[in-house]
Amino acid sequence: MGLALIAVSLMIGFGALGTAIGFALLGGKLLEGSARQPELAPMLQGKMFLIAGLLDAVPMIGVGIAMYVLFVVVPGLPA
Amino acid sequence: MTATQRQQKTALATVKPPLLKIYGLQCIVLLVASGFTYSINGVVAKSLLIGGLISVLPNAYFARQVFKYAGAAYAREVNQSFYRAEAGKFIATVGLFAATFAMVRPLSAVAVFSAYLVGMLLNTLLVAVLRNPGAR
Repeated sequence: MGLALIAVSLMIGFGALGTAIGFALLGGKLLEGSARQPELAPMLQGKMFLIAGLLDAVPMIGVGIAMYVLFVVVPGLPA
Repeated sequence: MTATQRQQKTALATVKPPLLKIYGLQCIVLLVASGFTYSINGVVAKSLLIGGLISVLPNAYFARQVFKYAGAAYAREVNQSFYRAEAGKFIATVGLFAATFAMVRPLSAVAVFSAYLVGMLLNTLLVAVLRNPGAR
């Protein structure tokens, strides 16, 4: 039970961390690109939206698996 | 309408993909797949529907938040709305998965994850194919 909870914490925590790092890099590049070439800002936003969908796909699946472990594999958490 | 608002509206029209079309198409694909599977196995059909909805609903929220602002003059706001949208999407996904696995019985976990994965891929594909020519 304890190990399962640690596993779930790691899955959610590292998923969030990975997404956060990815988005921080993406956001930084968007600001940089918009400052360098303002006329390209709308195009960069569209591309960022596309990449954002790909970026968080894998961490989200990890989060889903964490919820599966928490509620199906190890049910009946102590109150 | 001020010049800045007009500029903002033009930038949004240039960059915003047809969100209603993208998420409407996803819902149609989901309903068709679920309806087709229902005649074979009701539990799998229900699981497919739930998995697909877990993918579509947070993504729709994300897209709605992201395209509130556009243009170089609003780069800071665009960035902030991206961060807010991502946090909301993450929380919504965690909540929906938790609610599904805690409350829905019987459930096919493989069908839920398959539908979720296909939903994510379909979302990326539709955004890439249907996005505004001005945003390419």
